[in-house]
Amino acid sequence: MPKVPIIMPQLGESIAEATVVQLTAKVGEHVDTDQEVIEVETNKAVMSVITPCQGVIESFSAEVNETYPVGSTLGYIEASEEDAERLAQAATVSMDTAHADHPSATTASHPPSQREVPVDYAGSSFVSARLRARIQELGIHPTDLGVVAGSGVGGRVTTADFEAYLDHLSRRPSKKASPMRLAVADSMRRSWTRPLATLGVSVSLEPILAHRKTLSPSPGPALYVAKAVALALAEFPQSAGLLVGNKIFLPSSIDIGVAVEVEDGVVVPVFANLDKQPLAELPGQYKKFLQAAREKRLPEEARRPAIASVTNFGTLGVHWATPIPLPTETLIVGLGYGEMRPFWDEKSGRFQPRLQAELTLSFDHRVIDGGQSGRLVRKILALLAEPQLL
Amino acid sequence: MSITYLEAIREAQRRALRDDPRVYIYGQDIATFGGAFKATKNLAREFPGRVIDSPISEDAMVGSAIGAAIEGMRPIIEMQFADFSSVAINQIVNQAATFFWRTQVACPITIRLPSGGNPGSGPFHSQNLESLYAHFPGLVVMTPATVDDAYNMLLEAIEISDPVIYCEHKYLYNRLKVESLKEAELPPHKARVARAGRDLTIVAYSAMVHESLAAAEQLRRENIEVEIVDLRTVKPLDIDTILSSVARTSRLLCVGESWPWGGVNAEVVASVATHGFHLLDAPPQRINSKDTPIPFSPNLWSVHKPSSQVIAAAARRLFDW
Amino acid sequence: MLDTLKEHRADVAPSLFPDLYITAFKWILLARIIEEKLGNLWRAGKISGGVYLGKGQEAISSAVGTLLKPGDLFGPLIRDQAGRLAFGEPIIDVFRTYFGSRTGPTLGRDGNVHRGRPREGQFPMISHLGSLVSVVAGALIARRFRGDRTAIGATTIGDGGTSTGSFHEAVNMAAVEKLPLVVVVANNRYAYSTPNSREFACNDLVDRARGYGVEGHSMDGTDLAECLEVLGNAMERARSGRGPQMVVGHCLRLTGHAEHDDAFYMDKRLLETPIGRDCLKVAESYLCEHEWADETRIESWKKAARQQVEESVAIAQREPQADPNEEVWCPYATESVAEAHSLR
Repeated sequence: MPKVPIIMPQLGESIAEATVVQLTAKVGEHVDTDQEVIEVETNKAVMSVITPCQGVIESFSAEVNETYPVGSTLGYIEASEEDAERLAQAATVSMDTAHADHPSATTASHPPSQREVPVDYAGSSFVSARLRARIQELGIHPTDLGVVAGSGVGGRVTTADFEAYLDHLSRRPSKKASPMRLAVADSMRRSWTRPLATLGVSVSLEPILAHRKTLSPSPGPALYVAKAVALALAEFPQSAGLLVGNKIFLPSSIDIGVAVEVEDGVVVPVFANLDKQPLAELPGQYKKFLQAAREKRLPEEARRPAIASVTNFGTLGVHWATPIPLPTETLIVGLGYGEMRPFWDEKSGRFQPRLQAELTLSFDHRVIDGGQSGRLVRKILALLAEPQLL
Repeated sequence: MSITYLEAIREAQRRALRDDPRVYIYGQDIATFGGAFKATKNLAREFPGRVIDSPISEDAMVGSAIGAAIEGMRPIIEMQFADFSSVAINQIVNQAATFFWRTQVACPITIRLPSGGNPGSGPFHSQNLESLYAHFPGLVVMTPATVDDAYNMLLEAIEISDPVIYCEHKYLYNRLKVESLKEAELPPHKARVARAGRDLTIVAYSAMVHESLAAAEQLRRENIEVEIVDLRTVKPLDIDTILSSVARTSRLLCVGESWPWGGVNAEVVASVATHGFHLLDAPPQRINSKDTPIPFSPNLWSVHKPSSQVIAAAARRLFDW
Repeated sequence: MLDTLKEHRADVAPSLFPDLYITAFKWILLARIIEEKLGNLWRAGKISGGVYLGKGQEAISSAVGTLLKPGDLFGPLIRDQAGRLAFGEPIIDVFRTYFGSRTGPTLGRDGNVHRGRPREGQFPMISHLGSLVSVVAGALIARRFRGDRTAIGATTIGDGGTSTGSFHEAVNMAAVEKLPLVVVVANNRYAYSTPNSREFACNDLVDRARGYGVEGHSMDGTDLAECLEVLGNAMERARSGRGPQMVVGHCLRLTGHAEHDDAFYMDKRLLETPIGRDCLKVAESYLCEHEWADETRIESWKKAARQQVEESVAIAQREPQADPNEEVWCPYATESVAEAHSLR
């Protein structure tokens, strides 16, 4: 009996492939037309592959958890001669109509003025050799061209556009950017290639402030937050994973950075294995790092890449911000300005004053979603509510 | 009193014969008859014994010129058509072109090649062979596009101590005219900016300079300002002028009447891609005659070689990038 | 055929002999010794490329070179070592060229027989046979323009070379221009491996002279005396304005086309015929017969020649080869053109 293939269908716009979740029919089973036989998952949803005709499942070549492109053969149905012929014809007819619709596809000539711009070069991402040489000469990164309006084909920035932009800029006063500024700029640019999202919670500072009186030297709020983040990530290490290609690289140690403002920029010294360090030892280390950072003499171990960092912009009087993690970091936690705010106390049935600040968590949304980050932040809050656990 | 491109060539020869006793002209039908295109009309009478009819023997014509040049003369060989020079190719590329390199004695011959087609001239009376001769080391290949250059560059060719292939374009003979000749402004091996422009560089030579100028007029109405570089001499190539122009415009289109495979256009494109890649906003392009022998029928012939419309269309496509 | 050759012989002034004969003989001797040395050097691996020897036709070549006068022009070909020496080529030019020396006439840029001294009227050949004839003709045109009516030009060519279009065009053109050109055809019976029967269909190459409208002569190429007489006569006729002269010398190539060729294809029976004689031996006998020299004297000439050759080889071998780092990789003579060339 003739075999008819079961083909991975077009499951949606811009879907190129899907992963097999389940085979919902068995080899040898009799199936009807349009019966669901394979469950597949795309990034949008779980969908079903249906049979093209009735018959008996002859074989499945698809395997569970494997990914197959649209149009590939997933299995075969033993079908009637009639069905087999009908389906084969349908395939060729569609090929012909494809050609009929685009007769010029078989000939090489397009009228010159309608020639399509090659796919690689579409849009503003195309930079000609001349433009590339020019921006290299000026030490500009191609991604910086995004701010220049492109008048070229596909919206690309032409050399003329760029030169006009430079000409425009040259009428404004300028000064040379410091190496620190350039380093921060490069770091932020590289970090920003990821989709970053931010969430925020309110945190009571009172447990921290009470606890710090018991320690001398006493750690600042940022160190409490940093230790809390360290313990939380020790419990949920996948929240600090690094996505490269199709792998998530988990942290090998819980290294947390604490941002320090220096002249014309920011330095983030790193506390290695922070989850294992006692809170009491942190202030001394922090003071050393602060001094060294300001003198641009951070020791080797403090310059290693962190998996996450903490920044306290509350000291600047800022309530709320969306900080940007460094390129090596999956997330960053920001602490805002603490001030007295009314807090609804269920027990007393009234609003009570409470010293409160906003805690914001910016994270690489490719690695973690709202749910995980929410869980993480709840853990941090729990730890900050009982600082003796830190 | 006006002077045509052909008359300029004749006048240059007259002046050379008059001023330099080392000069003589050798070719078929050039004495009494004055040459197939009258490039030597009356010169035999004016300079007896200096304008000599040869048998139909291109090999011996060039070989004897080489011998005469070694012995101190400055011979000019008129090939009746560029197309027939291939009979003498051995003498030109193997003997004349290599002589100085092998002996340190110069071989100052000038070979005039009436080049290019007219309607109905067919495959063997229409060829442009500058690309062929430019390929061989040791030759200077000139391709004058204007009446002034036709005059001045021929005199320079005779002065040069190396063998010069002087490609004069038959289509321009009687169609190009000026009121009076000007002194040479550039040395013969420098290219000339025939038209200043902003958006695109067309590198051309000989008759194609004029086709390119016509194309530039069409494009001007579309707000595309074309810069045209007239190579004047194709070997050695003035790559500096070409690169300066591309530096200003960022786009290159080469136009030549010879065949596509290899040749002047290919050489310019390769040179610019190698030395001026960072100047380009679009890939360099070229237009040549079609890769077939040159047709006889005027209908076919007029499409076989580049026209101003084809040049303009190619120029427009350079802005697709 | 050789019997009929004698009919063509004209009388050359006997007062020129024996000095002329001895001079010409010594060139043959020197050429033979140089070429033996070249063969040895080649077999020892000291020479790159081909080595082309003229054994068997030295009498023809020597006669041409010896008879030409100062101010004449000469375009020698592959097997003309004797003629080149006679016309003034220094021995060391030979070895410098073969060794590819920087100091040679071609600066190492061309080799073996592609050498000359154009400023002295000796023109270098290229590999395309026949193409040198029109060059010598053109040089004579230049001389004519300069009012020189006494100089002649001679050029040599083989039986094979006369088949080329270049040869045809050149001789025809020289005849039309009535130039004082002497074309000496050494018919040594083989053009590489091609015998006369596959090279031309006319009875004798001298028959072509009539077709070109030039005077033709024949001579026994193995007999130096006959060569001197016939060539002397032809040159006189050219010099006196009778137009081009074609002289055909009959001989046999006594070597391969080049040293790498063992010439297995040659008909060995030809060695037994009169044209198979070694012209050097014929001349030695002639000298002794006429008592112009004896074996001892000849031996002393050989010794002197060998010494000259050894000296030249020794000097040439010590000289620097062409150096790619010192080479000026530019083919142009004109300064402005060379500059433009170097910019690329």
